[in-house]
Amino acid sequence: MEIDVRGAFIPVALVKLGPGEEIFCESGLDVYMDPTIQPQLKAIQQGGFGGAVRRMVGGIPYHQVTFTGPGYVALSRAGPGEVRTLTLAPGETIDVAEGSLLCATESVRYDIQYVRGTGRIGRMIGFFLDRLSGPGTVALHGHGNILSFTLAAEEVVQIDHGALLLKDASVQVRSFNQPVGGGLLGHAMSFEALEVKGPGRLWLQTLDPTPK
Amino acid sequence: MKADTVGSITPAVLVRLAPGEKALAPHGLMLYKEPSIQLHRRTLRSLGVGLGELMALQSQGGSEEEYFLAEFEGPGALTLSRDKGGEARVISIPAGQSLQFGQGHLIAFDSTIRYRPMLLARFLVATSGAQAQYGTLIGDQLTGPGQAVVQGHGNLLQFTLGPGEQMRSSIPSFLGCADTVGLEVRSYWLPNPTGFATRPMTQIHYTGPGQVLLQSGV
Repeated sequence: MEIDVRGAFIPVALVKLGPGEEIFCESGLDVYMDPTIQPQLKAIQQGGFGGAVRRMVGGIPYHQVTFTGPGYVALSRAGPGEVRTLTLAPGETIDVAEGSLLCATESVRYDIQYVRGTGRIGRMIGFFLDRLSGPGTVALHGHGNILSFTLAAEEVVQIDHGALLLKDASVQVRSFNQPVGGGLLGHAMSFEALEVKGPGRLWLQTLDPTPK
Repeated sequence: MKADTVGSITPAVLVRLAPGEKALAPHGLMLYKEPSIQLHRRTLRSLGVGLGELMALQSQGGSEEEYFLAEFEGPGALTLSRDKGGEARVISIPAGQSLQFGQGHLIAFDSTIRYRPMLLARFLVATSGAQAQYGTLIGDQLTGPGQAVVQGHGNLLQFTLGPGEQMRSSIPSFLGCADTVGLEVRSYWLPNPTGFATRPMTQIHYTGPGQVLLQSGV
């Protein structure tokens, strides 16, 4: 399989598949494809019944679309950003923000990871990340530009919720309320942010895709 | 404050602050910060902007002016983003000089800079049906010394006008200008030799000396 990123502002990932090679992605991302490509709907098996319940609660689709070669298929998230590909070694695991996965080879194991919210009234109750485990190749769409970091063990950064694009599974993430100044007003104006602790890779995106 | 822009699609601004150094930004722009950065709240009143002045602006249509700004205190690094495409630029403002920017473009500025929201122009806009209504151009005035970071829609176009030199732009193209630049908004009907179906045009007329900053996207 080859992935060729085309375009700079709203890029597409042009995926060339050999005979029998397969990728999976969310439905609705295909821009154009070879007539020889076989698209198929596939139920997400990972996680069993518990996983299905969690997907239902999190509003995550039950199905993915697979594309089987030979031929080419172009995929896009239809928004300004950068597309990057990653090759995962066997057992290597990453967590990716919802709405950022473009495609992955069928050898990549897909699951979801829940991050607990702060639980405050009027605040979010948590969110899901796509958990991807190697071996295989993954293409991601970062909204806006992608900023890459490698956190040392115990190194901490505090980030806006919408800025998280990717982290290694070894990187811990925790929601917290960031007050804006002191006193009651500071707490009233607080916003939910994430505390991210190394070691591991951390990718951030400069355009917050979540509705404000 | 040491500020650098990062990325080209949706640029972010990387701000590094020395111990005790402070930078101000509109609320809600933070992408990430190091835990050593302290986040405070500043009111416009604490920056020398009276409540009456702010209410007068609100009554003129300055709905984007917020009473609170976020103040970040070093040591450490943080990044800020306006979540939109377009060129971001770090501008140094010498002591005593003032630049005024349209609303919604400011990303961050040094705490040494004096900030003041202000009415840049009030004007009559010709509308179809041979009628007219009032419009306002409201902006942020920054007086040096210090650095400020602004972002435009699309690319930034910079012009330096000599004394008495003139140019004009559409209103949405306006990003900012020096306070030495004369700024006047004029609205008029485009001449149509047939005498029918004429349409109005509203433009900003600039008179030098000083810098004018325009944006290519609207």
